[in-house]
Amino acid sequence: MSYDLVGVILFAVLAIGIVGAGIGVVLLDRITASALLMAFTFLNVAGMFVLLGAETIAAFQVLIYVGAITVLILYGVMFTPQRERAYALFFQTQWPWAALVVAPLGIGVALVGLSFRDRATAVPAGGDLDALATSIFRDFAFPFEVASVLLLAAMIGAIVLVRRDD
Amino acid sequence: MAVPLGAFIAVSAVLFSIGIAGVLVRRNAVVILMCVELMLNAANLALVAFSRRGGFPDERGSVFVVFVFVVAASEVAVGLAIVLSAYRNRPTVDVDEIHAMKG
Amino acid sequence: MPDYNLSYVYVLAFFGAGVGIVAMMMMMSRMLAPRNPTREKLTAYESGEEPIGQAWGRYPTHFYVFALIFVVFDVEVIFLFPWAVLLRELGWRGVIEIALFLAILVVGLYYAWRKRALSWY
Repeated sequence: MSYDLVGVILFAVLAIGIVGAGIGVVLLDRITASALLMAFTFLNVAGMFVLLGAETIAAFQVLIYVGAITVLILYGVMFTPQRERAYALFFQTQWPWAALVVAPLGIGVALVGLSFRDRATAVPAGGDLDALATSIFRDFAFPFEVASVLLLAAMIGAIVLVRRDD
Repeated sequence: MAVPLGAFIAVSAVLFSIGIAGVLVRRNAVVILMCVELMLNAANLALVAFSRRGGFPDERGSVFVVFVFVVAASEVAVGLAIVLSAYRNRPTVDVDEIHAMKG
Repeated sequence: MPDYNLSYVYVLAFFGAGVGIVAMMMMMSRMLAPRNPTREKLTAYESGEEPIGQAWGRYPTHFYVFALIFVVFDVEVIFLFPWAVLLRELGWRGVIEIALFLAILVVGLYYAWRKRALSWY
């Protein structure tokens, strides 16, 4: 079996996983199920990154999104228990208007996206980590430092917000 | 690779639309944060797909994705902190009920 | 190039084998083990505490700070990895960049420590 066919099959499986799990996040009533389906979506996107030859990004995706952010969201779910409520209170009241705007937008952008017919360029064997590291530490050294300032601000802000009043 | 780049862009667009729909439609603030993460992930997918376009792979797209990771982590950390502090004042995460600015 | 990408088929095969072995183990124990549930066997464990109320209760929110600090330093790791790979090529310039980065983040850790956000109770 050639690689081309395997690639197409893998892409189809990952795309179905992404779209299905994403719809599940929006439509499911149980919030823990939403959170775990979100993690599943992230995992499938990581698979897409591997298909595109960006293995380092895929590894970081698993590390940050599937690892850290899912844990944080599950913590948020744990801290905010809610009563059972009627399913009618599940959606905002203006959801038909939202659907009316979002559906044509999504379909239109997807159709425009499909017009890019070129194939992904081959990545040199050995992965993309070397090129990525060179780019971050040589060309993007200043944004890299600013990223640490952003993380510091987020950390201090979140601590101030959740701190006990004592 | 037989899959054209446009297919990746289309999946990214669909995932982004699902994220927007979730933000607009759901009431639970934590689920809204999840949907924002889905949208950021769709943007990541589009960035990586476009960085594979042309003669040789351009790693600048991947660098942007790394910075998006940083922004996403910060955003969800602060967003959940806001949700938790609002929840402490009134035990609800329904965004239709969180409308009082004075704590 | 095709050989390189085909190597991921082995990863997939490994994944499938992992799922398959776990499923087979659970099926085998389900089929082979005798099942005779009595009321005592279905309790938590012998001499264990009976759970009271629901698990989804209100937790004190300062536990959130631990998850938060975990996430911040997890994000830091994604910059340490590329730096470690290019350690020799980047030389002292890389060391200075990463030292500044770590120093800024340690300020946040110091803040959390001073605000007693790291105490467990």
